[in-house]
Amino acid sequence: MGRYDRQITLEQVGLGGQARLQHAAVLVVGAGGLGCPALQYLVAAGVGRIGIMDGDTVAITNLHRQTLFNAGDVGRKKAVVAVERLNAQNPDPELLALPFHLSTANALDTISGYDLVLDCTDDIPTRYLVNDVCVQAGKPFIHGSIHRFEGQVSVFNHLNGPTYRCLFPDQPERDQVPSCAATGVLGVVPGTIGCMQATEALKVILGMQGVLSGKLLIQDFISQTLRAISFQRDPAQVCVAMQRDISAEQDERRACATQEHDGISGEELQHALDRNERWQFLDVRELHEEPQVDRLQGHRIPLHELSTRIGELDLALPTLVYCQSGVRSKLAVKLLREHGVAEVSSLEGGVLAWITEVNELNT
Amino acid sequence: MHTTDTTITVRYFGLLAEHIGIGEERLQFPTGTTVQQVRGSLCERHPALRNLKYRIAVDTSLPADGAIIDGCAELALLPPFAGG
Repeated sequence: MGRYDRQITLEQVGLGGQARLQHAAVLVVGAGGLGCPALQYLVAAGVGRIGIMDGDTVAITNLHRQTLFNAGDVGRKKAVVAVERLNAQNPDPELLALPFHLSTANALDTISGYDLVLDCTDDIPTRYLVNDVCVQAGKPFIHGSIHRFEGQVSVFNHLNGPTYRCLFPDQPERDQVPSCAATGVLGVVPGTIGCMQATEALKVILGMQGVLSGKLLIQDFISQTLRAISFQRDPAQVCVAMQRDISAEQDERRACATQEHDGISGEELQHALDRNERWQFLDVRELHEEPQVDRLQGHRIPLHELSTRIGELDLALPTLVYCQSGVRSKLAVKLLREHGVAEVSSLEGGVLAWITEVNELNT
Repeated sequence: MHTTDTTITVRYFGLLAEHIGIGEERLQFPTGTTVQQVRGSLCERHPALRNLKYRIAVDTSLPADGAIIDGCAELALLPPFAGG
């Protein structure tokens, strides 16, 4: 009996479908919480050629959800380790490690070499980049994303179907949408969503009915409810993607990298404190969030209550806002500025970075 | 002829729920309310929504801003998720 017999038995696969899988080339962008399970099932199913793109190295905090890696891999490139593990799982597919991040410099060249893309990344600008390059190169892509106990799945740019921009035309700024590192994540959430992405990828390759094109599937893992929201292709948003001059951005991005600084690093803050500068501290985390840092004690007003409680702050003092990882505090800075508070900055990387950089909790 | 208010469940997904402190609520909207008017009144109710990007689903579709929400059971405010 052959390795693929149990799927070949399915009417929707058959010998013809198995041949389609063997001739397919799939790029998986991101070998993290979504990418690991997606890769395992694509490899198991016998997809012929798979590119695995990820510039990160394995960290100990990845292991609870990134199921291809173990403690001995910490510090090694994820793409390289993934290829080793997946080769052992099934030697049939041709696997290529791409141990770098998707960028405006490499996206078009890389994506053009595949039939289908899985977006398993973890930040918003990269997701718009995947969309725009796939639209320009004429490739369908499978989107998966999570926020705490919720996940989203959809198939974009498939047979002239809607794109990511048709669903979300207004691109949020990077710091408006937090990553898993900032919010926390239970491994099974990206695990499930990654498997759903692999399911859609196999359906697209096999030419099956029911592909999630023009539909956003939203899973709430706490109530275990699924919603499917329908949406249309918006030709204006397809144009935005088509007309984006990705190669021209490469230089601009470098030029912008040093601008826009309303943050202060842990080290800078420590120096300011050592000089006995007077600061008013504002913690915008929820009341239950830990850890507390004695040296940064001050006001504690959760972000969603801030606009109605600004009166509690002393506007004569420079204000330092912090949260767990530096995302909410940036939003708070913006909000305080809108309310006329001028001298306000955000602690970059939040309490977590402060603890790591300055290595103190209660001193 | 008279207008009546309809009570509709409004659900906030992802980051939105954290910014405003609740995941869902039941709200009344007058007959003939459009998606755009919903956006306006929710922003007034929850100022944190002003700075955030999201789409409003009416039951199972994403209608245009001018669409009237009469007769729907649920509004879902959907932001893009980043995590993976």
